[in-house]
Amino acid sequence: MANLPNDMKNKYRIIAERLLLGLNILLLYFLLLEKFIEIPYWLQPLGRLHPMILHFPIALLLLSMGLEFFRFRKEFSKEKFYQDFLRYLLLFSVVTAALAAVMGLFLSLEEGYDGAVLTWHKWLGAGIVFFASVLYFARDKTWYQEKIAKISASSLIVITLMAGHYGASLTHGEDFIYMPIIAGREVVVPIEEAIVFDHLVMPVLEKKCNSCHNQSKAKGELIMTDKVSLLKGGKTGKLFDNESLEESLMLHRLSLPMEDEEHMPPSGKPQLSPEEKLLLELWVKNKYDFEMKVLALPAGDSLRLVSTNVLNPSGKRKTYEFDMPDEKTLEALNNEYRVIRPLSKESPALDVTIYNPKSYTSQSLVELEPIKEQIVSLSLNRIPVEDEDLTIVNQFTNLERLNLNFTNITGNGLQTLTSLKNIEHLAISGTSVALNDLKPYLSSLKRLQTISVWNTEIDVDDLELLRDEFKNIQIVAGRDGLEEEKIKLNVPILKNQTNIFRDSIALDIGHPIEDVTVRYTLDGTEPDSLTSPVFEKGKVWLDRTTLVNAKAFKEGWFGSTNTTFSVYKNKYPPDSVNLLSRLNRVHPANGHATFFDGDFGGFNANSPAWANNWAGFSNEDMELFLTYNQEIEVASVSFNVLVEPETIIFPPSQIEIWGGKSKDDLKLMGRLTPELPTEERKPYIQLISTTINPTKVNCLLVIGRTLKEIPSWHRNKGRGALLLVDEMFIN
Amino acid sequence: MDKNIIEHHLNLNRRKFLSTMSLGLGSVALGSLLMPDLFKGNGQMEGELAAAIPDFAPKAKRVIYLFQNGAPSQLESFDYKPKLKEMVGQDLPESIRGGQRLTGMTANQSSFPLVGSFSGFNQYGESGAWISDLFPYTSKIVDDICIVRSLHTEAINHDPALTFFQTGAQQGNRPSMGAWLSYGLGSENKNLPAFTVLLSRGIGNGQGVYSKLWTNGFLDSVHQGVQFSSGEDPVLYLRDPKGMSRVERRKILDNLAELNHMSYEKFGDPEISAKIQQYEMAYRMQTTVPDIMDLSKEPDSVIKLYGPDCLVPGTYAANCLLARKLSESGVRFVQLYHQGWDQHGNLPYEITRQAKDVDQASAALVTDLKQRGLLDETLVIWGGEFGRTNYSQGKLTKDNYGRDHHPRCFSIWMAGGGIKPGTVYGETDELGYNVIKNPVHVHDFQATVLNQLGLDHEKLIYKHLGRRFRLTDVSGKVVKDILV
Repeated sequence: MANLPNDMKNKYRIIAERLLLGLNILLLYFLLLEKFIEIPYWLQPLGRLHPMILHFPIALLLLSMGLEFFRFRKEFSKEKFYQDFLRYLLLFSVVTAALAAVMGLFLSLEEGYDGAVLTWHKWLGAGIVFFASVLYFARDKTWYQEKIAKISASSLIVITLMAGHYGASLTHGEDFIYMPIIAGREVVVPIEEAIVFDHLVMPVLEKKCNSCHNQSKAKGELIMTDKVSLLKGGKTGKLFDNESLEESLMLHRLSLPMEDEEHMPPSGKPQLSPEEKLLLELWVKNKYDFEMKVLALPAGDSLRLVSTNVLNPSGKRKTYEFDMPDEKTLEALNNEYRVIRPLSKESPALDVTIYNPKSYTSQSLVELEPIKEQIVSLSLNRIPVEDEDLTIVNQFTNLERLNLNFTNITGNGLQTLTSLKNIEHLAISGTSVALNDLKPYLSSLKRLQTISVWNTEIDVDDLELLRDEFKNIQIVAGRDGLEEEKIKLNVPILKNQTNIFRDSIALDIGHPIEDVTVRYTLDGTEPDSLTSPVFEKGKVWLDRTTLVNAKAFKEGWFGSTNTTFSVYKNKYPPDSVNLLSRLNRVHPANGHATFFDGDFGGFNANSPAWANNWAGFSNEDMELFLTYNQEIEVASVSFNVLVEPETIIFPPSQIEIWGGKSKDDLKLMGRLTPELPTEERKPYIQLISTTINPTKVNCLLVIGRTLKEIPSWHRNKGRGALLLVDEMFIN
Repeated sequence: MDKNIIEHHLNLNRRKFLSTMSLGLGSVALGSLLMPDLFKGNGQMEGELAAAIPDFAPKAKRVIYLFQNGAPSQLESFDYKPKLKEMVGQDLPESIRGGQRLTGMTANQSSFPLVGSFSGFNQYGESGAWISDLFPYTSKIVDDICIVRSLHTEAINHDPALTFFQTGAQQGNRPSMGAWLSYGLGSENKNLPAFTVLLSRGIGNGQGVYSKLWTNGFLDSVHQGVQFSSGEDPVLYLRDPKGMSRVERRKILDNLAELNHMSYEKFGDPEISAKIQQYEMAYRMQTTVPDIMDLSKEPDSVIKLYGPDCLVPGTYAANCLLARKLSESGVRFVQLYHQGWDQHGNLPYEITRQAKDVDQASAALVTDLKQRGLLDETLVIWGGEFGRTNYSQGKLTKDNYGRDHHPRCFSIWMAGGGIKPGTVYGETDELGYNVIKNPVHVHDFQATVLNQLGLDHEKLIYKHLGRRFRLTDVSGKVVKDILV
């Protein structure tokens, strides 16, 4: 500006001064009529610029007040640049301050700003503008001397800092600066003493509700600072609805969508975290009890879980007061069957697990004496621990978790564990502990959270009794009534090494479950539980290709579904197999060996059994030449085909069996036209047998003609089909 | 300790050695392997060295991951969408699809007819979660599990999606989740591997499962998953050759170890020591594995719990029971794969059977762990690699349809291990196509699993070929809302 001609300088100055006056009036007007003003939405963005703009007036004002403070010093008073610069700087700062103030007012009128901090900030901010404006216009008057300048400058600096501080508190929260220090000092209530309302609900209300619902400012005539006021409710009504707790006004307001006018806390205010919301919800649904202790809630109760979580958030490391264990001792005690590990890095607490029942002796526990203080978790699962051994365990006084599943301990042993006051999780599943021993012991454990008693002497009635008496302990047993539950047996399985035989085979049917009776039939009917023959190993001999039906039965179980096994007779496995035609490129299986390798194909195209066992023919017919070193008398030729119409896998259209003494002397001995599927159906495997007049031959030619035209019902009608064959049987 | 070994630059300082020795895997070799850079620079470890001890006190000690390979439809299991039934046959609105890429299997379809679940849904438990009628047993344990309906992934085909889930990358060769855990936490029971794999197959359309899914990647080979199979030899090459006695075996191993020690002292290669450890573990496994694989001693109540199929080797039920036994014996990570969930067509028929295959045993596993007091320290996960489309693949008829791959939303459930029981997390839109609330990315899921085991996913790092690798790559956030 120093370069501009004087009149130009003045022109800008005058415009700025008028602007300043105008802004002052506008500010005053807004301040006085605040209650009657509603900011149009298009002006709201202007208000939201306040937090950005305000940094200019703060910095500029502080700078200009600094300069103003020293303005009357001799060396400066004659310095033209100093004086000119200060005048324009001050003018500019005051104008930006006034702008910031007006914007700030706009912002304050938006929903969600209220409270003492805002009031302070508002009036201090406006005060700065007025004070600085007066100062600007008065500073050239004759009465304005060094003393006044110094006093005014210092006061304005102080006011600016204060307004700034309150403004910051508004955006960041009141304890923003000290938070890191305060947070660390948070008093943690031990869970034993925690009361749901006092220690969990109230802090949420304090943090998120009470700034608007307190004695001095009761929005909606609602105060949420104490029990009486909470029960009283507000203008809209009572907070809790005893008829239907879930529809209580308090929960309703919390659960409304953010956009809803009535959503609480209002938009712009800090919202409840999901955990806080859940906490309030569960507390209200739990009949908004003001006295309930956390530990008085049943174990596994949602409110108790959430409360425990809040009081002892995960990740917060538990601290132990005992010393770090000696590294050398640990090294010496660790071995293949006894694993000792610290809970985490730098934690003195140890977790000990003993494996391998065979190498266990009481010595395995006695040796742990040097670290008895540090052991917080001990697992003796399936280790033959006797009652006497528990006296050693009783020395591990800091134990929090003890697993005695399937040990040899009894209720008497349990009674010796008197020093383990810190136990939280105890597992005695599979031991012979009974109700009378467990009850007194449980009463002595104050910190116990869970105990597993599955597979002990404790029955369903005992369990109910225990759960009734120890509401705050989660008592885990197995699934109720499983012993009596009747479930269906699975099907029997064929245990023969192979289901293909030459002359005869002793059927071997088994079942994975012991003492199961298997009933079977050989005539294709389903076996029943009464009359069908009972399977006995080694007694059932088959001498022909047979379809076996079988079912399993056992007392206390439902009988299995019917299952079928095919056993195939293959009296004349050929001495050599020659494949005269080519296999489909993508279905090579195991080449010519596929047909007599004893491996059957399955249904699932993605399984190896599919790819390895189905030999495919698509353009060419199957032509298989079999030779025998010794003459055979052949009466039938059978083979398995897969039929899956959906993927155009069809049976052959025709089968021809040629035979003779040598390959130059073949005669057609039999011909068969297999039945084709006539409609879309699920995939199935079909054994196709061609019978011929018994003839003595040395070689055979088996031809399976692929279906050249898929029938007209199929969507691929007219195309050629695929033929898949896995096994062949010559009899 | 031998002076030569101490002097070797690949080895550790004494204090670290002792602590790793006593607390970790208990072996020289692994100790040095885990701390390859110990002698570089100022001893600052850059947080990349796992000491086989959790970073913070873990909620879970072990994981059993019931992987439903092939991607079960969320719409017929845990994500109830009645709106789809109303809109059956109508075309999927482009506004919902939002340019989502499709697989080659449906990209050319002329229309995308919406289709609702053929099976009914009901609410169960205190949480009131909706569960399909196909999962009657799972619905009984609903208050023990946390259903996450807002999983989403990046891959759209089985192999990359599966690989992504297991290794954090769609391409192969990165360490699998189980290998990372083995690396980060070491094994619990030194008589068994830290990471085992069990396979089974359902009746439905199956998809391949390859050993790359349980690879150790660039981590040391001790962290590789060991596959247990159903046959005569549950662990391949474990059995002694015919005619060899156990005493002889011991002698051979001792001599072999001596030779190996000699070459270790000479070369200081940690792989040599790892080898010694592997031989020793295999020797011990010869006695522990048959014990575990023997299911004949299980009481009737357990058999009824899992269903009688649990005694048929190789079935999903048997694998669940085995998983419990392995986990109970201290195997950190038991990975099951059940194939057959890829219902592109014929969905109602196939998924009914698939569900029947896994429902009872999965629920039984949770109950069984719970009744042994082990559920709170064992994290059980049930889920596939992605979800399925809300429209029918192929022809939609009155009672038949199929569903294509859908990466944008799917459901899994978790139980135990410090996961909040009886909760349902995340939400999809009313057509079940997009996540609208609390999305959980695969990396978020992985970060959460590691977190439950006491590992910070941002600190579980392995430097390889000049790059620092993590299971969660460069993203992943622990889903705190579902933690107890």
